[in-house]
Amino acid sequence: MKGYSLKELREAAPFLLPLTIFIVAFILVPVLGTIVDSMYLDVTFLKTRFTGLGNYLWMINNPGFWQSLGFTLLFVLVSVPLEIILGLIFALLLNENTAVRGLLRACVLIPWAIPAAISARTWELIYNYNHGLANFFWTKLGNSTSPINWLGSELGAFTSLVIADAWKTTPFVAIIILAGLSAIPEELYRQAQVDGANLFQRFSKISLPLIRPALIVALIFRTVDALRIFDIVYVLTHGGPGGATTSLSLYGYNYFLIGDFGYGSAVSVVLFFIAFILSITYVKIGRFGEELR
Amino acid sequence: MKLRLVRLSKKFVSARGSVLAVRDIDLETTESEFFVLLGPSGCGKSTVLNLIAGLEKPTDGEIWFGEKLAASNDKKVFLTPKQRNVAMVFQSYALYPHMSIFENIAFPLKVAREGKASIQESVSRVSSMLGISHLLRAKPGELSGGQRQRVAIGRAIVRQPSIFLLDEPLSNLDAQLRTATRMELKALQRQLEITTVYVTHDQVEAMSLGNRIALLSDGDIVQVGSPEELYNKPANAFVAKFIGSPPMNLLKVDLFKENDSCWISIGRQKIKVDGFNTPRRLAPKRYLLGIRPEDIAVHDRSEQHDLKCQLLSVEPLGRELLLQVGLENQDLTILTTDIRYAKAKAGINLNLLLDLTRMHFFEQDDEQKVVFSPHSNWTRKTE
Amino acid sequence: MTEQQIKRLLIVAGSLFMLIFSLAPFFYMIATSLSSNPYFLSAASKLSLTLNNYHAILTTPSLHFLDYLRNSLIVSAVSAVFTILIACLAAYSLTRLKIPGKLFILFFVLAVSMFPQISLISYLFKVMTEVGWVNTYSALILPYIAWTLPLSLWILVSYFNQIPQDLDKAGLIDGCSRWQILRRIILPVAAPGIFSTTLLAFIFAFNEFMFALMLTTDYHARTIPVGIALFQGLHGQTPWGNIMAAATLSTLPLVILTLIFQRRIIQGLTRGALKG
Repeated sequence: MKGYSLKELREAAPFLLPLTIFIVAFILVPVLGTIVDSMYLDVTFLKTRFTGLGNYLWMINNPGFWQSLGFTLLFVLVSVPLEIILGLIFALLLNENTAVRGLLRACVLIPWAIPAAISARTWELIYNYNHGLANFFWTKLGNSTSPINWLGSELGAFTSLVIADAWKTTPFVAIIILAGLSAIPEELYRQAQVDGANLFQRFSKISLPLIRPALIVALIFRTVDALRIFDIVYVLTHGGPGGATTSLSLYGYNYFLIGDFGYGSAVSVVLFFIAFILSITYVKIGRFGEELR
Repeated sequence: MKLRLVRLSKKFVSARGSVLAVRDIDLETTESEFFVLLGPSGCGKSTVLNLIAGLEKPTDGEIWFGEKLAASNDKKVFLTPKQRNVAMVFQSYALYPHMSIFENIAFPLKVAREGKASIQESVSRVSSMLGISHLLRAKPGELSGGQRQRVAIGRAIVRQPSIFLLDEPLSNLDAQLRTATRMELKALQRQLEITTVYVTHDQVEAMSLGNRIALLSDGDIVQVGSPEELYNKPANAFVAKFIGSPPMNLLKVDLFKENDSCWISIGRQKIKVDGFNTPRRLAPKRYLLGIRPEDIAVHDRSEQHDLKCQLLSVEPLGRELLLQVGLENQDLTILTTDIRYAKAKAGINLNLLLDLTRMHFFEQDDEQKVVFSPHSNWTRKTE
Repeated sequence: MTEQQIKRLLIVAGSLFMLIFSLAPFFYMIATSLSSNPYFLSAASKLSLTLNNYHAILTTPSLHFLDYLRNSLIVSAVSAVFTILIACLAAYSLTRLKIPGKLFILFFVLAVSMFPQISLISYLFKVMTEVGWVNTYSALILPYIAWTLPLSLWILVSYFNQIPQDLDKAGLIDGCSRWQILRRIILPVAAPGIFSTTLLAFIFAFNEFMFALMLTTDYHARTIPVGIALFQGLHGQTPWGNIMAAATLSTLPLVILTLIFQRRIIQGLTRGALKG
């Protein structure tokens, strides 16, 4: 290796060893193990045998798989833009130098700090048909507005998930964008004001372009997280009604529950590859960006 | 301790290719010498310092600390900084921000596991020597730049190192403080008698501090010598221009012989350079004439050896004036104490008299080596 | 209206919306926990305040609330501490020592953090069953350490990069080994950043759900997110009051941490995400 001495490498090795051990043992090996297992008929109480792509073939013909794939992709498509826009708005507000800025930031952060599984139960109550907060306000909108079957209808369940997820993850997006915003020097805005730009123009011509890197980072993180959504789906809708809101993670998990590790692993592998493609793309974009720098 | 560098080289390899930062440097200091590494940014002087310290490994060559070999790629020797017992003062001072001044200075002793009493004694000795005893309990963040610098020096000398390395330690101080600290550093070094290698880009600093100076450019040593040597006998035009402020003028002139006399022509003007230790043995051709601004006189009488020029600008420097003049499409800088010219207008004609005993001639090629230097004791040559 | 006034109006209205949006579910949770009737919104009955719910979850052993909470706190704290230690070592070497492929290592670790948990869980479950660790602290702590390492590493690398390399050089000159430099110089100087990162690691571990769901079976090791998720009533009626009380109590430490250390948390998160 050019430029590196054996002695220096030996000096550095112990510092990196624990990291390597944990990542390999508890992430890489399990993933590989799952990929291998997906090629087996692996169901408890049945004899395990190699089936190659058998699980995958079964998956293609399984409407449940397509339903959960469809839901997952639709969920990503709807929730991510919503969270980005909301996060942008929050970031703009949190960037303002108000007296209560610290308090505002702390309050906005709270949804992010609370475990999704726990807040999901609160949402479960909020979306309760007869007694929940959501219908309480919804029916107040008009005298004859009927309550929405949030958790019992497909559209309602979907919407309730999107809202609950946005509630939890918007703070994260907001913070990322906020960091980008606060890096913009004040002089740029003042200069623009002097040049005659109005509020909206200052936003679209200065803020927006300069926070592009932050937006991209938030976009990538949120997309991957939305793809692997599990916690709120499990607790809030249990994947229903009728499997309409079963994310791919939950779909695979359900098969683990009934002991079909082979097929569940196959589902995990599919999800893994979708996320993998995305993360590789991110690495490529990231490295390309580094080199540009 | 005599520091010796033998054919020292350092190549840096990065993703963008390799850079030879230090090329084949040979150097030897005397005992307790104050040795200065001088040069513009990027010339490799800091790299040489890091190599001496043991913070970098040489690509080639050897480093000797007296009789002990400190680093050699061929002989597979490399002593760590700890083993070399070097002390270093960084440009940023590199004080440990979380420790008090006392702990900062005591740190090397603590690492060497000295006893508490001994540490206490050493630190108070050094801190009183440097006048910072009253700051021992403060943290670096609370100190001024000058105070921090003293602490850095204190930390360096507290364990009596074999060699004292300084990397542009004065460049972060304001001008006034710099001059005062310079004198103190010089006195300190003389008192401690430790071999010192001092890196700077400021030639004024180098000239005032160093017993000897090595001027570097692009990883090479251009010239080594005492300040007087570098000033009076620059080895090439680079040295001539680097040393001395304001810098030496370099004029393109043609040397020719006429009727057994030596003349130089500048543009359409010419002057006879006979009657002194003239550069008779030089071949008649184009040279670079080096003459310092203080060796040119301005006057209004017309004489045989006058050069006529036009005034471009006047810069008052207190008790001196800096005049920029145009001579036959070339610019000259003149330093004069004749304050009559303080209000002179640009464009007026002036007469210049060059002190021909202070002329240097350089080849007009890539290397620009010196071919003729004024002798310190010139004798008038008679025909 | 002038532009200034429009801006002010937008900010006030927007901030109000943001505040209500962020805190409403949280306050609803607290209100329900303090009410004897969780359905107080519909029954048009007054919100009759009571501490019965809290009393119930704290004193009913079969609900195991305190067990779950204890498990969560221990597991999260232990894994956070170990994660930070390991990440400090790695971050130090990545920012200071000569290692080939530093950038690759960092991005690889980042890519690893994007793996879906579901693709790890079956293998982990099988292994844990094999060694008999299912439903023990080890079954959670070890995967948690690995799971929170990538983000911790990125954030710490960003903090360590800020510490001038001259300090290391001074340490070497003063006679320290690399290990001593880390221990005596870098760690103390980076202490605030390390603290922020530990906070984040703790929050991450505390919030984790899927591993805990699959790798624990009862109150011996089950964590509070799972406990509350599975909290069902005995006779078909969901005990919302109790659930909300449990939720409030278990999220209270997190909320307090967030309120106090808001600045540090935000700083740590932005470094981790934007250094990429």
